[in-house]
Amino acid sequence: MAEIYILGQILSAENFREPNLFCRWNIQAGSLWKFIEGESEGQTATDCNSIDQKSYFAHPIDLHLATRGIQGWPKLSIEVFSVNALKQFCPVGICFTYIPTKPGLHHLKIATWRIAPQTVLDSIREKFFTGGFTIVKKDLIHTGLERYKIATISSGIVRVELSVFFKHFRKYNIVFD
Amino acid sequence: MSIENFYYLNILGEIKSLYFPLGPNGNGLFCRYDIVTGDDWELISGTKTGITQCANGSRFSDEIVFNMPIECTFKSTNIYGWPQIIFSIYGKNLWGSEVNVGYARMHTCFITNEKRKTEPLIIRAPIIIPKATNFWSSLINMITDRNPELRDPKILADGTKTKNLFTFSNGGEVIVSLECIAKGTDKLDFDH
Repeated sequence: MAEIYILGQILSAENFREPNLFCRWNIQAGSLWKFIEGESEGQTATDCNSIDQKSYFAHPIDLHLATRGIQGWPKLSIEVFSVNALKQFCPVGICFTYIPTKPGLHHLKIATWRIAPQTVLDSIREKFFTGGFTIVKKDLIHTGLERYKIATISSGIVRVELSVFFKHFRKYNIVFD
Repeated sequence: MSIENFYYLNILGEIKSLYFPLGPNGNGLFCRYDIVTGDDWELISGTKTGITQCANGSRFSDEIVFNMPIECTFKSTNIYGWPQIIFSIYGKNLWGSEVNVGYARMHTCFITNEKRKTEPLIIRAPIIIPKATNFWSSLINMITDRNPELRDPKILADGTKTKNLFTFSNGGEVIVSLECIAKGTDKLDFDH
């Protein structure tokens, strides 16, 4: 079996209007893939930063996957949440990215979106950081099949650094260029 | 699979400096570093931990220079558990007592000697400061000019344990320059 090691960090979230951010992340892969070691999902610390709209997490990612085929290449999906003074949280940014298919270190800058408020009341509630809409079917984030059903607004960006190591890919004649 | 399937990773470099764009909140800063690895990693030579000198900045730059060497060699069979460095930074506060000024976490460099460009890799790790979550402790922290400390800073290297932590940052960075030399990775058929 060919193996992939994914190492790196969720570095920061930038340009979000809301204060007190944290990220929930997970990595999914197709049915041919197997998670061997490491956490495939997690949650960062909450960063209460309001200066120049940058929140630093430096949250580590360390994962080992094995595969029998390259279909269903792993994806990283991230939800950014904002915590208000009452310790309630609501999602303010949703995004996904494919794990880079080239070995080496990659600096990724992922733009995020969130669900648009439908009524005036909803948009007022969102303005005072007391709740936006969340996604119940989480696979909407990383699949494209039912995206046409939702309306979104663009949000801030998330910076992720990933380094990918491949093992036994040359043995099975998989080339990257 | 033979039993000799291991490789060596030699990490060498220096903690160059601390950078505070808004000025440091303390003087006489020093930092302790701990290298945290997974279970499959074995230390062959060097030390995993160290403490720098007490350093002060100068009026002409934002950087507090340490120039502290880091050198260690690991033996491993696995990429999982790649060495991470945790910095705990301490300094003197308004009242002259030593307090925590923040923490930083980074992975050591991923690129080994084959892909190396001419200069060593500079890594800038953001400084993260834990925050008190209730009003009274944050008031006492403000009066005593003290930040809450982590009992075990190594939880920063483990992605599952920082869930309930509240932090803030002042834009500070730890600047580290590192080089990695690997031996025996070809045998394991890695692409990196």
